[in-house]
Amino acid sequence: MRSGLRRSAAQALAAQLQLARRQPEQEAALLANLATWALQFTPTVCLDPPAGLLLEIEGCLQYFQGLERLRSLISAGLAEMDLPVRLGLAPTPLAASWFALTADEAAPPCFDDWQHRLQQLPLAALPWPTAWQDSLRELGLRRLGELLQLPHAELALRFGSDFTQMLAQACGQQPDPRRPFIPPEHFARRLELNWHIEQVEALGFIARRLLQELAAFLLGRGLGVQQLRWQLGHEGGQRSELLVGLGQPTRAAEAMLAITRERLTRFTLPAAVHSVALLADSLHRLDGEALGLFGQGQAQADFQLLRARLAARLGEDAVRELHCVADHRPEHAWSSRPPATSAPSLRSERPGWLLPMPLALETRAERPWYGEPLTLLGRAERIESGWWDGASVARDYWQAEGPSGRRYWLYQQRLDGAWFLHGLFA
Amino acid sequence: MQAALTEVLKHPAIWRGDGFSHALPEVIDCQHAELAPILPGGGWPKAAVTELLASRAGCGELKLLLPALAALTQAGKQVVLIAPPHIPYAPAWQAAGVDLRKLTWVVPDTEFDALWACEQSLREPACGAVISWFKQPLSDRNARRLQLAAEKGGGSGFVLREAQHDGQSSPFVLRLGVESVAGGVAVRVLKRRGAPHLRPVFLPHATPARRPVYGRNHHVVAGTASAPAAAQRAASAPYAYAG
Repeated sequence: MRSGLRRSAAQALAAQLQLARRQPEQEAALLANLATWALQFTPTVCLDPPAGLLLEIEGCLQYFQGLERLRSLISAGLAEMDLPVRLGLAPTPLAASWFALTADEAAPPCFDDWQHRLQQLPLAALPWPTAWQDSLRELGLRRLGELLQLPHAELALRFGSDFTQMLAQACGQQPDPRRPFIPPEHFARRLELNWHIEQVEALGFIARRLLQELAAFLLGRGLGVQQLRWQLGHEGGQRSELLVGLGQPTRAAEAMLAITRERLTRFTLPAAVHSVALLADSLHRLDGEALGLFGQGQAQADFQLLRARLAARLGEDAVRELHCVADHRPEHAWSSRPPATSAPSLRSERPGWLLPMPLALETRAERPWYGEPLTLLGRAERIESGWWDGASVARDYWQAEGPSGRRYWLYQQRLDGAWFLHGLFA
Repeated sequence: MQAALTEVLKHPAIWRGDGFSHALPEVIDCQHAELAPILPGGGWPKAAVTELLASRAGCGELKLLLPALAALTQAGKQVVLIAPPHIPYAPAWQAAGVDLRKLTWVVPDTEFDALWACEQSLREPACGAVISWFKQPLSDRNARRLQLAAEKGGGSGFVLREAQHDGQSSPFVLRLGVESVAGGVAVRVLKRRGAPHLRPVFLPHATPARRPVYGRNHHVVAGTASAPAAAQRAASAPYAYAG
């Protein structure tokens, strides 16, 4: 069995063959997520499509206490995601990726004698276009070493200068700059299923795979997530969304899966599911937080994190600040946004609670009435302002008290003498 | 009582018949000379939730809390207000000494979200005080959750509700009733650790009730005539006028 076979030929060779359509965009998305995961090992990660990742590890070997430990960390991490891996190690990116292609899955990579092993590489295993492969086979070349012995000028004439440049880059005679991978801001991953799911329980397996990828993404970025957004695509173009809130920012796949399963059991599918997407757009910093002297007991005192979490769940508008604004009109004297100028502190007394809208009061026996007769106290404070912006006020403010002892803040409109309640001295 | 004697009486080995339990809780100063003697430890308990039952919103609950909140924010602690009944009026809070940069006002849509926000904020050690208003009485389970969260975070929690003392039990160790009476606020201890305290404490308003200096006759109403009646209604026991 080899690639390039027709479907009928393949099925003739192996009757129990199961065919699946290849999904290049899914492979690219998975590779990008793995690249984000790999950022936990080194800051310089490059994509090597279709299935390779290049990690610059020289700078971080000491941090990971040597090559052997780093290799086992990477292998163990990928094994957790049920991904087979082949590792290659070389001073140049091209040689490293060629070693990985031809490596044995179980064998650990070795660094010694890399020039010699590079020369021993079989040409047929290298990811070169079939036209090159065919000409090389016709020339009777089997190993990379035989090719490297040929004069470069003639090779350039036959295969083009790109070819000789690539060979020089692989041997380290020419620089091979790579564009480092930049991780995306948010996690979004969609799985198109080859079969349709009608049972909620079966979604758990898909969820587990997506959450493992999310956990890897978060680990690489040093982030945690507090809200998961599941989008299910149903037959007939219908969509449904499921929001899963987590108690605190986390990146533990098992914890997220447990909570998601809880939510899924209470969820009824409107129709069979053919695609599952997981989005995590509000991410929180988890790494780099100072721990308490006695371990995790006193969790990190990060108030900004709390505010971010409150805003993530309740909405940006629900978490507000308070500021004073230099304005005589009471309803304009505060703001939940930082004002341009700072306000001088007031000399006259103000109530602790302000009503969102002034409440019109009726008058009984020519006295304002709010559930009880109100007695005005002290002097009136006249506020007349705002004629320039259309919200002009002309009012006399009073403190008032009722028989119950509650203190009110009232005003009388100077225009028509109507009474309004504007605040409460609590 | 002399200061030296007070110091001596704080010693845990001295037992007083009318006193609090021996293990005095850690507190933040309530900044009220009248209130401190009736609170165990002399202030608002830390790492615990205090329940305040206000007869109506705006009947004096802020007067109780504002001095302590001002001290907390000036000490660099965060204060979170969750679902207050009205707009916290920034100029007044600033005038009371609250550092507005340390004040966060959370407006959740539902009671459930308010509970969640309250629990999350109480868990956060940076929060010095979390003040949450609820419309419904908290269920026993939710109250215990808040209490546990406060123990984890170490801040002071305040749960406010508009209600008379309805005889409902609650797991919170300190419960106060707040009521407005003529000329001030009456605070009554509904539950505390140690001996019960039945007499309400009276906190007078900062600006005393003055007669209007000018105005037409019908604005001048004798506040003093109705005041004793209101006081009678508010409390059967006599007031302890202090300060």
